Order: sequence, then C-alpha cells, then structure tokens
Amino acid sequence: MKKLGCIFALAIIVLAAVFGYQYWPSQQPQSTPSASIFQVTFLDVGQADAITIQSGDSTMLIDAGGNSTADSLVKTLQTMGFNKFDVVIGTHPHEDHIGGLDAVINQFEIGTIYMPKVTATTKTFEDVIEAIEDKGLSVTTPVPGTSFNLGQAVCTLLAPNSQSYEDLNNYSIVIRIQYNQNCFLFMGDAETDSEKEILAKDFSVKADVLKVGHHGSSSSTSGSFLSSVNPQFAVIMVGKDNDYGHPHQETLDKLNSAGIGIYRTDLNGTITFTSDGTNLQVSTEK
Amino acid sequence: MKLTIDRFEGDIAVCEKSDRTMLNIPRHKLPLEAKEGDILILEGENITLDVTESQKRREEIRKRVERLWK
Repeated sequence: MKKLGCIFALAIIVLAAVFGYQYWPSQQPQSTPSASIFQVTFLDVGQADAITIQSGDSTMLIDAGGNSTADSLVKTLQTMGFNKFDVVIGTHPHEDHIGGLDAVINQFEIGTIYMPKVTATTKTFEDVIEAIEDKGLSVTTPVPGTSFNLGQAVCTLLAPNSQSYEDLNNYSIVIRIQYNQNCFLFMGDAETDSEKEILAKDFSVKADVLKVGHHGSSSSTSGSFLSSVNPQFAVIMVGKDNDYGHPHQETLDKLNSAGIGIYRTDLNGTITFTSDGTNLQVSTEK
Repeated sequence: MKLTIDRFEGDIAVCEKSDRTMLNIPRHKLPLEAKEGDILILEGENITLDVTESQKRREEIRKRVERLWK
C-alpha cells in the first residue's frame, strides 16, 4: 500500500508539472530582450547570407539565406526568441539572399521592408513578392544617405547609388549601423563598382566590423574601400567547400595583411557580436 | 526541363529548377548570350535559350511588381 501511495503521489506531481506548464504559460520564463542589448548575429546558413540585429526591443533581419535553409532559418529565429522584425532588408534578389524571405515574412510580424528597385525572374523572387502582397505590405526603396533608428542604433543606407547596373550584385543595399561607439558595415554582395560610388559620395564607411561583400569574392573589397572602412573584424559568410572558391585568396590576403581579424561562417559557424556601446564581444558556435 | 538563371558565380551559372532547388552549370555549357534571368531549356546535354519565355517572364514580373514599391 505504501508503495502504491508513493506511485500515486508521484503521478500527481508529474501531472501537476505537465499541466501546470501547459495551462499557465505566463509563468514560463520569458525571453524578453533587455532594453540595452545590442547584438549582431551572422547566422550559418551555408553559402548564403542571413543576419539578425537586436537593438533593445527593436529587431532587424538582413537577408534570409537560400531556399534550402528556409524552414531551418525560421526555426532558428524562433528559438532565438524573435517573433517580429521591425526592419527587413533583402539586399538584392539573388536566391542565396532572399530564398528564405517569403518564409520569414509569412511566419513573423514584419514592419518595414527595404529592397532595391530591381526584379528577378525566378520563382524564388516571385514567392517573396507573393508573401509581401499576401500580408498587405509594401516595399520601401532605399535612399542612400538617409538614416533611421533601430532602438538606440542609427542605421544609414549607403547604396545602391545608381538606377541600373549590369550585375544584380551591385544593386545590393549597403547599410552602416552605429550603436554608440561601435559600427557595423553590411555590404550584401556589393562589388567594386558600388564601393567606388560609396566612396565618391563621401559617405562615412568607417566600421569596427565589416560584413565582407559577396562572400569574400575578389569582385568586392577593393584595397581603397577596405582602407577607408579600416575594420577591426571582418565576417565572411560562406559555405564549406562551396563550388565558387569563396572566399577568394586575394580577399583573404588583403584582410590578413591589414591585420584584420577574420571570422567565417564555414569555419566558425554562427558568429555573434555583442556591444555595450564601447566594447565588442565576439562569440562563435565553433 | 526548364531552368531560370539566378546568377553567375565566376564560371558557374546558378540555376533555379521548377521545384526551387538550385543547379550549378558550368558557364561554357550555356549559350554565349545567356544572361541573368534568362530561361533555359535543358534536354540531355543540350542547353538552349528560351527567348520567348524569357521575355514573357520578365514582362510578367514587371507588371506584378508595379505597385510593390512605395
């Protein structure tokens, strides 16, 4: 009898734990972001880009990986505690940047969407348009030189500066984000043509962290642009053993000879920078 | 099989299949005039450009996004 009583008591405890957890969700620990946090996460999505920025309670997503990682990206973002993105940037309409964007738009609450005013003919692009239309949203055209706030951070658009380019990569939205004394520069796949235009406009490009343009391809990161940015760290978003030889040795040599610390998603996995406004802390998955 | 050229990465054309999976094709196997956004017809080893479909598709998308940007 004593044994039975114990089992009964144990069953009640287990049931109470299970039902308590299910029926009083407000008692679950909340992942409410701290108002002062500033965090930039370069997600390992293989040979593609996906970056989250959390600035206090405000959130931004720059690109959403390729088609093959769309579902896993949504799960990862949910696990990280995101349920909305105040700003979403599709840097340019190539599959390795907008592949998962339709899934993100469908699954999260979305504020302002920035995309360059250019189209692609892929189903991937059409899926994104459809997701935007289905939610009754529209797209904001990036105007270089203009700024907006993300929490306490200031985001300044630097490119694209021309109406038309031969290569879609140069349509990439380039954005610089300043949180107090720390600066990040996100290049998308912008190539040297766009870099030249940015320098010619005399925009401030100085940054602590550079998201290297076009997965470290030699088509981007000219010497003059790199010396103007003069970063402490460079992040290359690239897939392990990719078919394109990214990052190119030429780019790695430039970064190394300038003494810049290199982080790569193929080697380091997901890379997170946290800023207190003055100091940067880096943590990597691998 | 029909393919859409999503982008060129150096000597490789990254193409989108109808199921949205991607296929890498060496650029030299493509017609010389092939460019980003074109529709290709893949028959065995033979790859040709679908000029009519490429134009139709560009026009279709252009009309579709007319009111998308603010």
